Amino acid sequence: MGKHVGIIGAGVTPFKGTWREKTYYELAQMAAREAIKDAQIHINDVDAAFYGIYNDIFERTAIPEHAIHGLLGMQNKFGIRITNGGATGAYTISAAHAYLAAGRFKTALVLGVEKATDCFDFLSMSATPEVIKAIGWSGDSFFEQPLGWSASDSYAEVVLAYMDEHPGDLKPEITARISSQLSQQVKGNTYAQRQFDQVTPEEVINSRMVAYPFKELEICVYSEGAAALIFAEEETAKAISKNTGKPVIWITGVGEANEHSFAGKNQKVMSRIMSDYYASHRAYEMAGIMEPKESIDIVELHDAFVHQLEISMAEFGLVPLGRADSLIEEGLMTPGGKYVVNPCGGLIYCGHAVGASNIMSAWSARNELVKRDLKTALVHGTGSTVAQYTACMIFEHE
Amino acid sequence: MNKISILGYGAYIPRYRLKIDEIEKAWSDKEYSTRSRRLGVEEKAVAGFDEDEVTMGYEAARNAVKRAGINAADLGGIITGCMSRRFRDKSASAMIAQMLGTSEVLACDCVHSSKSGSSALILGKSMAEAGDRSVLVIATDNPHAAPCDDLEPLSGSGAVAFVCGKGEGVAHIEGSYSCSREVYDIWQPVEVPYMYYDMNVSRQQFRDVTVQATMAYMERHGTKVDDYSYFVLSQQDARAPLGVARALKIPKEKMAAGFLCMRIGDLYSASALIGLAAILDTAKEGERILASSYGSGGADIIGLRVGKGIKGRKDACPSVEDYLNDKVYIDYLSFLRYSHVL
Amino acid sequence: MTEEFRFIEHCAGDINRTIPKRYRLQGSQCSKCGALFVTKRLICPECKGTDFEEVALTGRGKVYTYSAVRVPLLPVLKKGAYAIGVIELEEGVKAEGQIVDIDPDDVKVGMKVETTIRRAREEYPGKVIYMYRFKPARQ
Repeated sequence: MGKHVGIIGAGVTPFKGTWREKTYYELAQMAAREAIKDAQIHINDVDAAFYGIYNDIFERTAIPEHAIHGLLGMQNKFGIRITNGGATGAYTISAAHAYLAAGRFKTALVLGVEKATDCFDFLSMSATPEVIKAIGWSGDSFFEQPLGWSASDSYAEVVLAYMDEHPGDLKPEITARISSQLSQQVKGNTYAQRQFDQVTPEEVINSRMVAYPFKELEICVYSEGAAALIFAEEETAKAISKNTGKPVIWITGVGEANEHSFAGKNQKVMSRIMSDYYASHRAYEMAGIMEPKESIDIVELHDAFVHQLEISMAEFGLVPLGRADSLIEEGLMTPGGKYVVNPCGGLIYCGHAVGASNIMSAWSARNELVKRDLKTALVHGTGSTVAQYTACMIFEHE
Repeated sequence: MNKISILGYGAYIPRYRLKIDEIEKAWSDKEYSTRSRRLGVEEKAVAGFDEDEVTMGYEAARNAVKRAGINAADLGGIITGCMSRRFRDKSASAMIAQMLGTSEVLACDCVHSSKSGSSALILGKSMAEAGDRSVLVIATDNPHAAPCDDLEPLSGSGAVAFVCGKGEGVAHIEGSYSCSREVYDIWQPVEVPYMYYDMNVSRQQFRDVTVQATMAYMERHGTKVDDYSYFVLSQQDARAPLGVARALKIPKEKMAAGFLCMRIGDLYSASALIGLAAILDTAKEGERILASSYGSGGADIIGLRVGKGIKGRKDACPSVEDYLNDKVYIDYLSFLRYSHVL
Repeated sequence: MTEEFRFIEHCAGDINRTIPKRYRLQGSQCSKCGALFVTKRLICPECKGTDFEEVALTGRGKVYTYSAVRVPLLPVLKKGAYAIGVIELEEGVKAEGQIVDIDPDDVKVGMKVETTIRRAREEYPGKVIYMYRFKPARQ
């Protein structure tokens, strides 16, 4: 199992649709600065850096982390870049945890940065089609790209297969209510891209259909921003915690799974997100959680789409498969309910700065555990075509 | 009365030179070659592959600001005169302001004529007179004539800049006279890449209007040719200005200091003014200069008297002669590459 | 513009955002210990400072080391060669830049240089990107 690893500092930049005045490198430094200030340490005290960077095309440079390393003052130390689709941030946390648990380092910086709108489409004078095109490069070059593959339709296939298998679940009025509730939750997140963008369920239902069954207000928004965490192994973490007076949030469980990307026998089960199932249950096992329904208090989930949020909650074992609508119908995630789901507003309202998103989720989970004085949180990241990649983490408040 | 002087000036000439022989070699069957030789231009200055009117204007501006001994932040205005601007919508002055590191400044361009440089200088003088901050005036050009065109051996590149302000400077601006007329001599509709021109009309108009304007200026200021130690004119080629000089009875030696056309070609809006900069490099206190610039059928005449400030300012930055001497000869193919034709 | 100059077609606010750096070699200085950096910094590796001021560097210095690129990405100079060097600035910090207005074979370590501004490339559609360059100092 290795050493205990805990979070001792965290910081994010505001998430924005576009950071016109900041460079990619500046955003990275801004988040790292917040995190080391939070941990009250010097950058020289950090042993290793883990960079979560989604996509070179977004940043207009290959190996974008090479410049950040020196700019942060991390020269002559360990630095590694993690790129794992939408789950990049979660996988970066997982990688940093592994190195620290193995005793390789005492402290580590986990940094995710994204600057999506630097890729620009001059025909439409907008960044959006170019961002979507850049994401389109993640489809495989033989079967997917020539079809006009996009992230939306690949997740839609999974959601529609689930809906065929479980008719009556994922009702449009429920997904609309979830989106509306997330828009209320984001109010408290001053770093969110859509902090003041509150919507009613009716507005969600009447919003434009992007790729059936996803409506515009049920899809995450691409965002620019950075998020950073400082990890430390047990003894160092305790010492730093004593200094800052902030409790250590321990990472007690980590689990990952990447599915097959094609449907078929022993391949992708279209109606399920098995990666979520395996990753979460592996994390539970490592954390010693027997009954997730009883243990999990906060879920910081990668909600690329509201429908996928519901299915993921079912795959985590927090609601029954086929009864994901009970999240609202039985009040499981409504205010005062059993679970606190995406208190930061999630990726739909806080924003999806791909490499930084899951790290922002971890930042939020850590803050909420302390603020609400709760015990256990589940942090989740999903990505790649047909919800193929997942990494999950269990955070525990001491 | 507020005396407006040129507080500092600076020039920039790119280091590449193309000998007219090279053009004649490239287009050996073209009849124009003998004519261009008769026009007296031996070589022309060519902007490098990575240079254009903005980078050259910036270099000249930096020299002028340095020679004036002021900070760019002290400037109240930047006016750039440029005929061959490649952008129809993008302020060169604002870019040069950014490059110099100032933003609280009125930056505007003076374009569409080969006398936009002198017009900018007259505007800059008036602006400095009206306000309390100095004004930077830049004349820069990077003209591109079509390959094998009659203008190709003549069009050179370079820039010159002046800082106008109150106080005793390099030279006091005594006065100016402008006359504007309409004639189709050089014109370029927006949809064509190169200028159209009528050389005969151009030379005729240049001669007539320059003679008339110079006499009008001298009449108004009660001066005569003998009062001036130096004359500098627009130099489309090395022949036309001498014709004007003969008509005005200006001795050849008074033309020599500012006569650079044979060594760099016609710099359009910077043509007369780079000659003025060369004169200031050699002039002594108390000497008077008459500069005239021709464009679009009209002319601007500017009279100057060299002031006390000339002493000690000469070595602040490279002189025109320094730039003239720092040269690298290129062949015709390199010229086409540097001009982005190839 | 030649094809080669369009090697990066996608750009946006990025080119506006970097104007101070590209035009004036803007550096940053730690407000606490005064450490100077050519790049924009927010975390001082010398002290624990996290506040910085932006300062314009003089751009004057001498060649610390350089290399002549003979198989160039940018076909900018004759013979297709250009010099890229590390310049030790008067302030003591080092900046990387192209050395122009000189044959790459004539560049010498220790040679005095100063900044100028040149066209670096042209981006679709018609955006000219200017950037600082080093040239031999005249005086």
